[in-house]
Amino acid sequence: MQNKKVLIILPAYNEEENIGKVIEDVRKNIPTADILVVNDGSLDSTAKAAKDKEAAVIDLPFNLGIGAAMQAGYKFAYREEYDIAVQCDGDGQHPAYQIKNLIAPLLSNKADIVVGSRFLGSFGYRSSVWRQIGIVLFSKLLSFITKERLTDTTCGFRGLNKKAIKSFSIYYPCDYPEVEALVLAHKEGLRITEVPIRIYRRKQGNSSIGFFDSFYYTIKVLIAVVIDLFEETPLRKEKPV
Amino acid sequence: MIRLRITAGICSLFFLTVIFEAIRRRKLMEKHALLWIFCGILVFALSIFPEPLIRLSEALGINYLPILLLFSFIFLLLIVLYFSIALSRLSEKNRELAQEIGILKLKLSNTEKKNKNG
Repeated sequence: MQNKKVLIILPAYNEEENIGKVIEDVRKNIPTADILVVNDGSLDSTAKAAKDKEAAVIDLPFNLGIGAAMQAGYKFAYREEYDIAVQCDGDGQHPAYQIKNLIAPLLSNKADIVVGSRFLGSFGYRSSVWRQIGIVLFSKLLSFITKERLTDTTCGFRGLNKKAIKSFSIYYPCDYPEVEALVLAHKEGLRITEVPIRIYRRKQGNSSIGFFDSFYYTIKVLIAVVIDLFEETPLRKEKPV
Repeated sequence: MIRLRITAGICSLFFLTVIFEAIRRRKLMEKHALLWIFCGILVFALSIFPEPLIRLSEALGINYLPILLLFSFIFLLLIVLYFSIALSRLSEKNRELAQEIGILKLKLSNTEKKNKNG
């Protein structure tokens, strides 16, 4: 990681139980990277738990949702001129030893955005049937739109280079942003690559997408993707961030 | 009857176009956009195939709908759409402010730490 400025962004909502461990895990694996926790208006003491571990904390005054919280992180990364930003769940789903693998294509300038895929490679990830159908559907759709082979477009374990950070800091979708962000990035001309990853089951707390939300999620994101295809592109209206 | 369908169809197509343009220019938040797309398509479908509406009006005992009512309905619909757009703009600004506050708080605490150590 030859003197590249790397920022690990951990969005967290009510993760006081997990966030400390996640920060330790990241620090152990990539000691040179800076760690930024975006506390999305948690009702518990997530911010304090993160500060106790000496992480930088963006403490949002109230809950904005995952998309806006991530965007706050990207804005910070852009202004502080980080070369690489990694987005990683604050609940410990994404073990930090994989970050080096994840950002390798960015370091060798083979991609602008790297997405972790739970399905590439032999790690074998299983989820509920309905969620799986949604995941496959979006992967096929996104592969068709971007003309790249994408297998896991809903994964929130991602790495971005400077160009991608800039794009996401200007515009990032609000709710359920993962799939849409890729469509917008593609429209922006950013190169997207996947890297196989492994995820852990959640230990504490609730995932932001429950079982009954799967159906609504699928329909909502589907329509949003279609809208995105018609929208004006994000870097188009340059405004100072 | 066929003329009414054409008039209503054109009106609802116009309505759909307004919605679509607002979405394309990011004037409508996605949450609102979804609702409006759904609403626009429903209005369009009912203007082309008004049978369910007619059956409903028969069931309610209404068999004469003054044109004034139709226009005021469309007018109200446009006003509500405008409110939806305004609300989207406000939420957007609200989000930006909250993000700025978060970033500023971080910078402030960094400066304070530096001052303490220096």
